[in-house]
Parts: sequence; structure tokens; C-alpha cells
Amino acid sequence: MEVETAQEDLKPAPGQLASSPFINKIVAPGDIVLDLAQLSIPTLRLGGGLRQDQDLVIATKAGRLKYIKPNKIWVEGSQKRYIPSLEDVVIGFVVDRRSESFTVDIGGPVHGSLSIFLFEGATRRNIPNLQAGSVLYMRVVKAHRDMTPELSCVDATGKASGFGHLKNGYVFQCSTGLARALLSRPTCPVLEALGKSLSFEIAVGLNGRVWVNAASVSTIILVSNAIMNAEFLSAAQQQLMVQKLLQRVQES
Amino acid sequence: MIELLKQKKKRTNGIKHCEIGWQSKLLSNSTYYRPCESQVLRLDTTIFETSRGTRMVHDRPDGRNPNQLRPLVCARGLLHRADGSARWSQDNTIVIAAVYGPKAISGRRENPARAVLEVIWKPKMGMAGPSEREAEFILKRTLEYIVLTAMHPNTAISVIIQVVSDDGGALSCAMNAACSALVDAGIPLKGLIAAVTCAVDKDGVIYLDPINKEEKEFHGHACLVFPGKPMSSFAPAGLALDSEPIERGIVTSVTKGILSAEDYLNCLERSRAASVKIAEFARSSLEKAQRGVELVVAS
Repeated sequence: MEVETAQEDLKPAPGQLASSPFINKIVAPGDIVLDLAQLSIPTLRLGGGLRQDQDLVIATKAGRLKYIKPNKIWVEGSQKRYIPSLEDVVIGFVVDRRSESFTVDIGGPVHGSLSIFLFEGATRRNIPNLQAGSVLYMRVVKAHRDMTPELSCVDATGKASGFGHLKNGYVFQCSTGLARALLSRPTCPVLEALGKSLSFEIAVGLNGRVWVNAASVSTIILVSNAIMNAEFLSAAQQQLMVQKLLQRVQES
Repeated sequence: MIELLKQKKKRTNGIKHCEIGWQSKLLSNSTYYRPCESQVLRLDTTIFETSRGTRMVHDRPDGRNPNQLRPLVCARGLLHRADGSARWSQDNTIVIAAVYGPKAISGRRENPARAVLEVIWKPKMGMAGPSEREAEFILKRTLEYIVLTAMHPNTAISVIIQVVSDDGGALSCAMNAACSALVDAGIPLKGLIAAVTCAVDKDGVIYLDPINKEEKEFHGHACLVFPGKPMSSFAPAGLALDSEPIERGIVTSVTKGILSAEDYLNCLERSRAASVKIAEFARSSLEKAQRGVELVVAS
């Protein structure tokens, strides 16, 4: 989910989402966020971290309450463990190969399954040759709490568009909040600062995994460390940190 | 409606003193850590007379008043490998709670309808024995009240409690730590809880948050867990159970020793007031931790 705050009206009309006093504030589990009887929106879409209890919308996680006009509302927090949800892009490791699918570890409660046909140009004769431990960039096509999540290496039209096997490189773990920040627009300051002086490839999974590849190992290490350090820093601090790291590398 | 004893009270309430400590949310190889504030809280005092006459209030070994809690410190996200963790200290009683989950579970333990909650209590010294098993059971039942287990069927959520030092009130400290760790792990919760211990001496005087010495000397003590009051800007059509608002309820009550019925009711009333303060403190610590995490997002 992209990090987006909607434009705020000067005076939100009562009965609209913006009029809830919890919008853009931090909520704790159990907080009653909305009273459906007082809203004038016909349908409301609840995202992660919220549940409905008859006429009330109650938060189940700690985080900041965000919304998009007119009717999408969710709680945004950062966790270490990933819970698969639909249309997320994730990085996974192949664990096993079964007759018609790969078992992939995406960092959630259960392993996901990736059908062998969901690759660009895959046929019965042309099965992708993936060993245990291969790194894949995928999207989640089915995620329900009662079923194993299903993944795909093609987009909706059948093209690869960046999904698939990631060769070489290095994968590290971060929190889901940092992963969202790395994927958001405008570009995260740490990536911008790194991109100005180094050339590297990066793939970010919303399950808190980041894949980095570059020509030299020292660049990979530098980029990984910079991203891991950037988690709790503001934009200015991130740029400073990257500068210091680059200086140190150049001196040695 | 239960009739409470009439008490003449002179009460001066309010937070008297607030100190700021430091917590750190560290990544394993990160040299930059975000210092987050953990808050320290002291309550003010109450002088009271019971209907049994003016009671002599014993001097407490650490000089507190009977209504005074020990300073609270809460640090979140301190363990690198755990999905969620929290350290809750009440002066010398320090407990670390770690949460792992929801994670896969195999075999006959799995429940196709809900997540299985397991609690492991590790004492400071020695092997875990029957009293630890009892504490695990009580904690499990309490946490099952707040965790929305139906949202993650076929998984396990493990809560591990490590007692770092125990100077009385370890169970309530562990409850508070476990609740904070569950929030830190992002596990869906129905609400928050706040736990308080109180001891009663033979004269019926109630001492909040007893230390080990007091727990042993006094007649009886109780660990009481109350649901945290949910924030809501809407007029409480709120959450109610049988037309009593949810914050008047009680989640868990563990009593040890000898308590008369009126002592127990006094304990309930006193602890409920203290639990409100603990819940407020836990909430402000939660908000600080959230703001620390959000710096990247805000940029």
C-alpha cells in the first residue's frame, strides 16, 4: 500500500471520513475509530488493522490511521512479520519443487505456493529451472487467512514486468514499514542519496525483504548497510548518514 | 448492585512527577538507533479512614505511600529476533516479554479455527516448576481474552516471559509486558489490558504494588487485570456488556493468602483506579514508539 495522505479539506463535512478525529493520529488496539451510524458514505472499505463490530469500526493494531477519499481507511504500522495480503509484491525463497508448483518462503505464517505456469512463456515443456534457495520477485494473487497464499511471477496481462528470478545479489531483512517507505513516491531520501553516487539494482518486497545487486561486493554492502540504518532517521539525517558512509569508503 | 463500604477520603490526585528514561530500537548491525522515551510515573497519595476506624498505615520499606505505585518504565522493540518484544519495569521487578508469531504450527496442536496461544515463563534462576506453569496458564487465559485469534487460523503465537528480576508483582508486570509485546508484534488485539498487584494487611489497609517483603508479610495479595479504556470520540454507545461499559469489567483476578470479602472489594476499587493510570502510561509509551518508527515514512 503506497504511503499517501489525502488532501485535507479546510472543514471536513460531517459524515465524511475526514471528520473522524482519529484521522492521521496514532491509534491503539481497541480504539473506536468510526461510528458507522454517523457516516454518510454508502460503502466503506476497511484496510489492515481495522475490524467492524456491528456499528463501530475498531482498531486492532497500533499505528497511524490513514484514509483515501472517499471511502478507504486503514491503520498503518510497522511489523517484522509479514501477513500476506492481495496484490502485494514480495521477495521469496524457493523451498521445494512439487509437481505443479513451487513452495516459496515469503516470511509469513505459512509458505506460499507458486504455480509453474505463472511465469512468462511457461509451458509444460518449458518449466523454469529454479533450485531451492532461488530468490524470486512475485506478487500475491490469493491471500486468505484460511488458505495457503498463492503467488505469481507475471502481472495480470501475462507479462513478466520485473517479476521472476533474481540472480546474484544479496537479500536482507527489514521491517514492513521500511519496505513501504522504500517503495513509496516520492523516492525515499536514502535511495536518492545512494543513487546519486553509486550504481546498483534493488528490489523491495513488502514482506520486509530487500534484494540488492551491484558490480562490486563493497557497493552491495554499502547500500545494504545504508538502507538498514535508515529506518529511524529523518530525511536530512538519512542524507547525512549516506554522505558519511561514502566518505568512509572513499578514504579507505 | 454490590454495596461498597463508605469511606471518608481526602484525595489529591494527579501525576506528580514524570521522568524520562531512554529506550533504544536497535537493528543488529545498525550504529544509528532511535532513542525513544520511556516514561516513568509516580502516583500521588491518599489518606483515608476505613469504617473500621482510622488505621495505622505501616511505613513501607521503600518509603512509598499505600496508594503509590513504583516508577514504571516501558521499552519496546528491544529484541532483534523476536517479532515483538517489550521490557516492563516496576522499579526492581523487571520482566521481558517476547512474542513470536503468527507462525506455522504442525500436528495435533493446530486449530483450524483460531491461532493457538502458548506462553512460556522463564524464571530468573532455576528450572521452571509448578508455580511457573500456573503463571503460564493464567497469562494464557488472560491473553486469549485480548488476542483476536480467529484472524490467524492454523498458526501459533508464542509469548515468552523472562523474569530479569523479581521484587514482588512479577505476574502483573508480566501481563503488562506481554500486552506491550503483542502490540509491538502487530498481532491483532481486541483491546489493551492493565494489571496491578495489591496487598492487604491484617487491619484491612491496602497497599498498591507491594514489594517481595510486603507480599510475604501481609495477609493476602491479589493480582488484578482490567481492560484498558478504549479511546473514542463518539458518545459511548461504546462497547458494553450487559449495559455496563467495558471499562467497568475485570479480565483476571488471582488472589493469594487470606482476604475478607470487603478487603477484596476495596482492592478491586483501588486497583481499578491504579490500572487507569497504568493504561494511560502504556498508551503514551505506545504512541512514542510509533512516532519513532515513523520518521522514515514521514520523510
